[in-house]
Amino acid sequence: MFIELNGKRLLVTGTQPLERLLENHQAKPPYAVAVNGRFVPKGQYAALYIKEGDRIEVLAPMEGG
Amino acid sequence: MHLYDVELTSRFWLGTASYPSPQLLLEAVKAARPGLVTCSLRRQGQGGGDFWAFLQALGIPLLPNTAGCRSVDEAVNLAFMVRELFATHWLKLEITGDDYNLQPDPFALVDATRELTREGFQIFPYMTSDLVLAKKLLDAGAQVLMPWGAPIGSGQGLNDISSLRTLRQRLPKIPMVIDAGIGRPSHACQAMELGFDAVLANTAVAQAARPAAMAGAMAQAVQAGRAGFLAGPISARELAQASTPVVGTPFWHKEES
Repeated sequence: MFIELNGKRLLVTGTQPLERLLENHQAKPPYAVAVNGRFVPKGQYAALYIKEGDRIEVLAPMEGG
Repeated sequence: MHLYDVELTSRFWLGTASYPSPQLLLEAVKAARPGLVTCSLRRQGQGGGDFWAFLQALGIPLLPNTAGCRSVDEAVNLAFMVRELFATHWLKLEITGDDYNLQPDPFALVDATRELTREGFQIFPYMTSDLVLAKKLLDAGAQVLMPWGAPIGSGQGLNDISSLRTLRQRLPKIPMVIDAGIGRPSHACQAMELGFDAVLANTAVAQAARPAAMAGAMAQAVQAGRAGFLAGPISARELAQASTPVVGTPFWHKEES
């Protein structure tokens, strides 16, 4: 199935929890995650399974004004 | 100064974006010793590298923003991400209402402030200089306000002094920080002379020919402006008034009219 990770279309095989997707794509801590525009607390990464078409944002600290 | 029960050591605050290099940002921070620095969140893999380690090493309070948000919903979700990542309840709430001058959306700002205050955030709303908006934001739970001096990055200084003066006069006890539009140290000084509590600058420092020198100059200007405000400036007047006493002046003569 296709999902979107940080704006890029991505093919993933099988159902998998968010936690595994983040590991497989080398998300580097610290980061915070939103799925389909909703914040997902760290504690839910293992239980939340990715669905077709999900838009996942992995955000990291950056410069800001 | 004291904000939301935190003591800040300086009334000059510094943004961390758009410096030519991380080294120049570090030098600017060292020169200004700002009371806090602002930061943000972006998609991972967009550069930035070890910015988190950099921020932690500074040992200066952080004020994360929600720059780039265009709705209450976006801002609220980003706020939760910010809080988890930066481990702070402080949030510089930015919701853009116009892409041309990056003007804050006053209506969304009030709604998001209310919602986030309920969730335990301590909100620093980036706002226009409208007095009624300020009152609504306070009603919604903000305890600090951040009115703009001019549009972000414009360097115009305080382009609506009259509104800012009104804000200060009508809300004398509310901590207010001029955020955005500062271009020169004199602008920062002027904001402080008007009685504002602090100044936040980013582009004016980051894009200066020598960022560290400009950061230091801004910090000094903020100090001078604050001292001037506390000293009670005289009011401007239309006509001259001799500062040197004229009584007893030699060769004194009065023109016959």
